[in-house]
Amino acid sequence: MKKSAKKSWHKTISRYCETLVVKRPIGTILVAALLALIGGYIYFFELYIISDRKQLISRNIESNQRYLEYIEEFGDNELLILVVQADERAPQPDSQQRAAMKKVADVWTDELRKQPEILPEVTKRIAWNGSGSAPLLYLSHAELQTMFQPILKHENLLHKVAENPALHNQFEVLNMLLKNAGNDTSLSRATLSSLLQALTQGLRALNLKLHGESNENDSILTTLIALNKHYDSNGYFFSENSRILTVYAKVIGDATAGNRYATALSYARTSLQKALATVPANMAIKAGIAGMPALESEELETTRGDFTRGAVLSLLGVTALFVLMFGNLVRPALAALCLGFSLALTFAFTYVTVGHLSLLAMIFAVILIALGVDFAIHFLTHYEQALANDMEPAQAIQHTYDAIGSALWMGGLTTAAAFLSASLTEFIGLAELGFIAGSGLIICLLVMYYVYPAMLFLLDTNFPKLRRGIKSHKRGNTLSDKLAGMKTNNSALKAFVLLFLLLITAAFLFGQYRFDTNLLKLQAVDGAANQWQRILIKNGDRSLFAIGTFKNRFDMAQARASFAKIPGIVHHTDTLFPYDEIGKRNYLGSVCSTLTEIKINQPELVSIFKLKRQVWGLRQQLRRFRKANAEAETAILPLQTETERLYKTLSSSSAGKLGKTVSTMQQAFTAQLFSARQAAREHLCPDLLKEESIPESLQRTFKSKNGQLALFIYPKQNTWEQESLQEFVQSIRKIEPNVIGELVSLYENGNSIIRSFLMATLYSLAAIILLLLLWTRSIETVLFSILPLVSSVAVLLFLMRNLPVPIEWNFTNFFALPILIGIGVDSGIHIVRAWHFNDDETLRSALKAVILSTTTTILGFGILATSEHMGVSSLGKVLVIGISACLFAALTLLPISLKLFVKRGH
Amino acid sequence: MKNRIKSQFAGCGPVLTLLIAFATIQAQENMTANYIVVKYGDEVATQGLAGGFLDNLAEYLGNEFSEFEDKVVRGHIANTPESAGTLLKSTNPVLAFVSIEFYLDHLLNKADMQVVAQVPRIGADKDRYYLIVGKDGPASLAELKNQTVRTKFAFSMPFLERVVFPPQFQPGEHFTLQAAENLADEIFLIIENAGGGFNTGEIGSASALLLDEELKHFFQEDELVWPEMKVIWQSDFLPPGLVVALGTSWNQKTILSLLTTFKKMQSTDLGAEILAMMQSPGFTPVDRNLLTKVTTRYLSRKTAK
Repeated sequence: MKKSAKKSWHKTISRYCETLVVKRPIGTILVAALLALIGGYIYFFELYIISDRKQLISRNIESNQRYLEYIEEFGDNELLILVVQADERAPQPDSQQRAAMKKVADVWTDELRKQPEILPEVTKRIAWNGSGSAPLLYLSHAELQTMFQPILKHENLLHKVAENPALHNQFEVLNMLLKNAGNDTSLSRATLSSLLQALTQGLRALNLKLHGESNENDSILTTLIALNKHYDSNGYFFSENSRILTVYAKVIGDATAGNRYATALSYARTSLQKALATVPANMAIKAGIAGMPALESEELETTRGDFTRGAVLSLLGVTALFVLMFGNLVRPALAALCLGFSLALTFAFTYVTVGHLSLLAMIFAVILIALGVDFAIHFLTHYEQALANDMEPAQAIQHTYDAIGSALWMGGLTTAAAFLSASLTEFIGLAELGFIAGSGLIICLLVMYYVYPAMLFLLDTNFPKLRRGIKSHKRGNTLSDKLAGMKTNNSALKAFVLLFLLLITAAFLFGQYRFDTNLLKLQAVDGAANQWQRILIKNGDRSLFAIGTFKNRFDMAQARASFAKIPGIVHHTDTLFPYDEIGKRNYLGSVCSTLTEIKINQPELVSIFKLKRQVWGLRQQLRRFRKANAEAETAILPLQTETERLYKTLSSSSAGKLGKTVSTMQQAFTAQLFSARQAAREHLCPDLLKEESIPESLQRTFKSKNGQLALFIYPKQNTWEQESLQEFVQSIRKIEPNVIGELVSLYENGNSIIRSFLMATLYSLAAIILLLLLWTRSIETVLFSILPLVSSVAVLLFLMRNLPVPIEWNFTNFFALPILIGIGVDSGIHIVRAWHFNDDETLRSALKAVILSTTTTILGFGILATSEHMGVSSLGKVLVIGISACLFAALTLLPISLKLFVKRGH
Repeated sequence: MKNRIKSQFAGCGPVLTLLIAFATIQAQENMTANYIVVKYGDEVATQGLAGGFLDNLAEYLGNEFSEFEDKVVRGHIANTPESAGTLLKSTNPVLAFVSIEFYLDHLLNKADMQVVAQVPRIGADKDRYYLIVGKDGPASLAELKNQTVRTKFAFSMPFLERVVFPPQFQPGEHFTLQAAENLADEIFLIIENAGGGFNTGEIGSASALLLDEELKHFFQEDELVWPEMKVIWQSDFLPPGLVVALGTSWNQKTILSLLTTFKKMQSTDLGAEILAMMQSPGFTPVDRNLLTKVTTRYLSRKTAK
């Protein structure tokens, strides 16, 4: 009874469609074309794409809400970061390179400040009012030790130099210093390298001066004193290894633009070219722009380019394949036109329902092309078969509706349901994509069900000659024929099925389940922002941190002290006030008294002989070092060259002329010693720090309008890696449960996205099973329909881990699972449905349609695998593998299982 | 009865503890194989500067010599007779890489001692001592009568007297031999011909410098030094550096195995790196004839003295 009711329901729909298509074909096509035109207009002129990640995340996550409140109060921390890098080959940038790096920073800053409406604040350095030790108080204890420990350690040498600031005495001290350094096992390789580099630089300057090529008054020892390159007396931001200089620019995005930061970023890049042009090329200074806005903008451009290119190539590729498969041009071209209608109508629908597209939702176009064409293929396969059997176009359409109408609807609706179920998830980006892709598929199904048959009817009625090319299938000459007529031994089949099921189980057990949350790995490898962000990370990234907010200084100090106790997790913390101010003032006080107590005498008269003797000593010492340590060869060679040059100069020049130059240098150096002692008094004997003396830029960053204080917590490890990020967030939450910031958001939203993808997978699976049950009322049919899907997921998981280049799940390719579920079940439905017809021809057509439609889907998604964006590319790869596995299972495991367990026609 | 046994054992507690502690220390000692390197008067022969070389050699021996397989191999280095003597006593080494002078002065009379190999260096399979002077300086050893000769900061006077110099030209008799604080500085003074002390109260320059094979090679390579100097005398040939096995743990088989380990150094990456650091083409069997000749001279002149 139920069966007959279902039949009449199907027939009613089929009759209605047939009437619409056959009686009103032109009207149907015109209405569709008109609506598509409106959709096209909306896409080009009305629909905008949002790129702000914050609009895609869940508002329900508490830390997200708190972070938005923080931004409201303190301002946004999304900064463009200028990264200026010195030549990587040199151990450390020398003073000329540092000056050039600062010059680039200055010019870039000046240029950016000309555009305050998009770049409202640029910070290149912290400018302290007046003198004093305040900036030093912001360095860590370790940094202060690095800076001043050599002075305290070699106090006796300082006294010796001050006692007689003659140049030969400086060299004598230098020889002693080198001898000590050579025997000092506690000295790190980096410190030794810095020492040698500073010496080389000092000797080079001395040589230039003796040859009358320079008027600078740098002495060897003043160069040595400036060994610590991290601290910059002008307040510029040098990295700990001094190789990188950074400048920070706040940026205002244009919410109405497709790429909100594009204008600002383009201006910043043009300005950078201007800035780089101001430094000589031989300085080997490179620079680029990193930071979240740059990464976001670059990702948007790449993804948009990838998706547009993917959509166009998919459409062309799929249509070309369609043409090849069916041996004529017109019918596939009409299908491509219908796909275009579907896309335009989906844009219009999106505009009315969602109001915008997002970075993630843009992928729907590729999905629609890859899957939408399948409806046309299924329809056309059966329709052409009917024409080949000498039916008239109207009869052929009626026959096709009867044969595959319900399977087409069920396949389409289950796929759409799989996507629509994603709209139930908490991650807004995924929910919107699920809704748009699901709705788009239904729209596409409607177009292919009504408009495409109307076009075919018009074509074949008005141009009957075109029908002559269509030939009936001959048995035994195609793969589908062989599959349909397959005759096999029963026990061998059972063994095969069992073995296959075992393999599937093994694949599930040894599959890929690791999730890589590193967003940088998703970006285009050669993206400029991505590359500079990586350079920043390599040199101690300070652009990513967590934030704690506090009502008073006392609570903040307590939390800060607790963070300092986990140095393996927290690199350091920054806020308005220095950490352990009293401790640091005491330390600086001891350095201050050491330096200010040094007694400085006037230098001895110049003795070129004594100077030459000390330089000779240095020369021999360096030769010995090189002999003893092959590793030191490269580090010592430049210094040895300068020493040789100096010795030769002293040996060859006239004593009187040299004596005069050296005397001037000695006097200048003595004056420098006096001023250095005075500077030590002023800079190293610290007063108590007062809040009003702290620069305004620091106050703005760390203090809100309402007086709340912010504490920035920097991670020790690379938090782009999930394990480090998790450990960091969980550890700091034990101290301050309400931490917020980009890092916390990355962590929370990452978890939210993974949860959403998992839920989307489960929802889509549940929706498909439910729909199939409602449709077939047979658990057996449902199980057979999902058999290719289940086995393809197993094979996919297995291959992802065991391929020569394994693929990990990530934020982009994880979406392949719901897509695969939506597509995978489709083939199963068509084959199972055809099996129930006790008719080889229908089964052959179904198998052919499955092969053709899946091949076009593979091609459609395969285009994505060639994308620049690594995330999109891996999505394409995962889909190609998954769908190929699904096709293989649909053509082997499913027919064999059906043959074994299900009687034809039931 | 039980209580009696208990009380007896209770009394043994501290003794047992001591025994266990002693056994542990013994076991630890047995687990370590120390070796020493002695290079008199070499400024860079310090634990700080030669640490990398010592670690490499220890690693090589630990990896390649089966007797050291389960042991922690540790290297120690000394550049003065005093520090070398202390090392010999404190580390109880099983191997010593030494110069002929240290061998004669300290190891010759040891009961459990076997010379395993020799280490030719810097292109010569035998060593020598040289006297160099400024290019306008004295022409022969005889002309150095009552002059000052300086040499590296640490050396063995008995060895120089008995083995290196001929009986008629003995240091302390024919000329004065002094340790130089800085040989490079001595050379500078000779080149500058500044023997007068420059009215600064400093000691004047020496008339000649006594160099071993390695020092001679070092200065010979210096284009600013060698053209300004000349060699006026050279000693008879001496064996190069020696490898000596010490202690009772050695037998014929292990000595041969050790020699094989040294011989194959050039064929391994680490071994080749060590040889490059030593500026040596490879370890070779000992030139027994030369060693016997030098030893005999050392012992006979000792008696004569």
